Amino acid sequence: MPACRILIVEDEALIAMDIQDMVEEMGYDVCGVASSASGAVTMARQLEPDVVLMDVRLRGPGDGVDAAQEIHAGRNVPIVYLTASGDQATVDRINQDHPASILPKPVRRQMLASVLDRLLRGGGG
Amino acid sequence: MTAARSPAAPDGLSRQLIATVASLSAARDLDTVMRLTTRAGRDLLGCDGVSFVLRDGGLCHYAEEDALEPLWKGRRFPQEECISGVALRERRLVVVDDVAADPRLPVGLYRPTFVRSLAVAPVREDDPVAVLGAYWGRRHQPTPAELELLQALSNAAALALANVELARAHHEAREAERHQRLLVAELSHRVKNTLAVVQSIARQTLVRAADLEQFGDRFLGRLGAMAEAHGLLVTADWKPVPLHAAAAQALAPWQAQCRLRGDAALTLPPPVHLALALVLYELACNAARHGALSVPGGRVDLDWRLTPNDDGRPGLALHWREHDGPPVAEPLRKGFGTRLITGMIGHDLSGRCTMVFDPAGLHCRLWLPADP
Repeated sequence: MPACRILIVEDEALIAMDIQDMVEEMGYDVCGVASSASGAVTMARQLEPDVVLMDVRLRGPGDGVDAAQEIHAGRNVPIVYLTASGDQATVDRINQDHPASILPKPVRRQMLASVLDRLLRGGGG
Repeated sequence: MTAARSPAAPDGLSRQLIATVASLSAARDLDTVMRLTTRAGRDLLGCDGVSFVLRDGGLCHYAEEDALEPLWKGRRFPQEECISGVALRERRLVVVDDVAADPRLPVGLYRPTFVRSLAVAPVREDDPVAVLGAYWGRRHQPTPAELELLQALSNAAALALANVELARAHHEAREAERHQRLLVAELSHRVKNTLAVVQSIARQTLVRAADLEQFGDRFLGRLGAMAEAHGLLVTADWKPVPLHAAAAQALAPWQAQCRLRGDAALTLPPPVHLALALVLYELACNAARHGALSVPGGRVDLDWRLTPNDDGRPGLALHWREHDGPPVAEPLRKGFGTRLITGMIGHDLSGRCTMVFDPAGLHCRLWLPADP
């Protein structure tokens, strides 16, 4: 069975590298890494990932929610938000989309593993 | 037993005064208070003009008026040279029934106007902040009832001004609170993001470290480079940082072996500075372990200049060149340092990075767009 494919959307290379290493160690494939909303939408269309890990604040115009809404308009892929902002305004903003989950940054490996297991392997999460 | 008394029906003047007080109590800015007061003053007193004069340090500022003809709106006079100043200083109502005959008035100011008689009342009698002036175009001795009305209107204006001040203070307090909440949220975001970066550096350093000592050296070195870059940014008040200062700081441990050449006035925006500081630190650490900085005679030249890329896009080119070091060979596998350099330049700064492992010394060419 091929490994599930994950798209990472994160504007900081070091954080993206860390997330990539974590999900690869869990046995998933990282099919792409985008740093902007427009890049995320393009990659999601081209690569058709099984899950998107989405930062909220991105480089350039638009944020992660804008990108997620555009991705969801074309395809129903689970989007897990990773955010360093736990304030109500950010949570409200994320809930304008249909988040599969919201994880705080720095991301805890066990929490990420649990969420991906639930979404991709039908685990109890 | 006495029968309950019916309240007296207000006459027209009282109704007008009550309506004015109601409007003034709802006013939330100075301009509205002044406009309502001058208009009502003219209607209530039946005079030919009313002005609202603000205390402005030692000056009287004729800020608003409602008059037959323009008077002094917008002008400022020293308190000693106008009758409003008398009312402000003496905190009392002042009446002049003939402006031409009163030595306290500068006749020249009144001659071109219609004003023949006047009365001015302080706004906030115990510590006046303004004056309400009423003017007549004919000789007129204001009656006690008119003066009482003028002072009553001034008192209502004083209350309205106090309301405006309270509303302003309330608004400012709410704004300050909102601003503080935003700052705390932003600070929290940055702290957590920085922790995520530190977590990444720790994990990546750990998985590649031969032992705990090597992990400690490399992790603490990277953390120190990040901290120093932040320190420079704080010193610069989070404004663009001179590239020369940023490079000198990143390469400080190897200062004697490094030569920096480029426009000394060139500055980097904060995100570019933070990323480039780590990149230069990684290049230097790599040179100190395997390249020119690993031997006493080895040298590093770092040059930079503003130059467009092949597509004509403006940007900054940096050239890191090692020489007089041990022979260089391309590493068999990409280490974290190389991954960090290419990731930060390509992903974070939308730039380009080319590394040439020339046996005579490593060349690293970086190009960063002016507008990533």
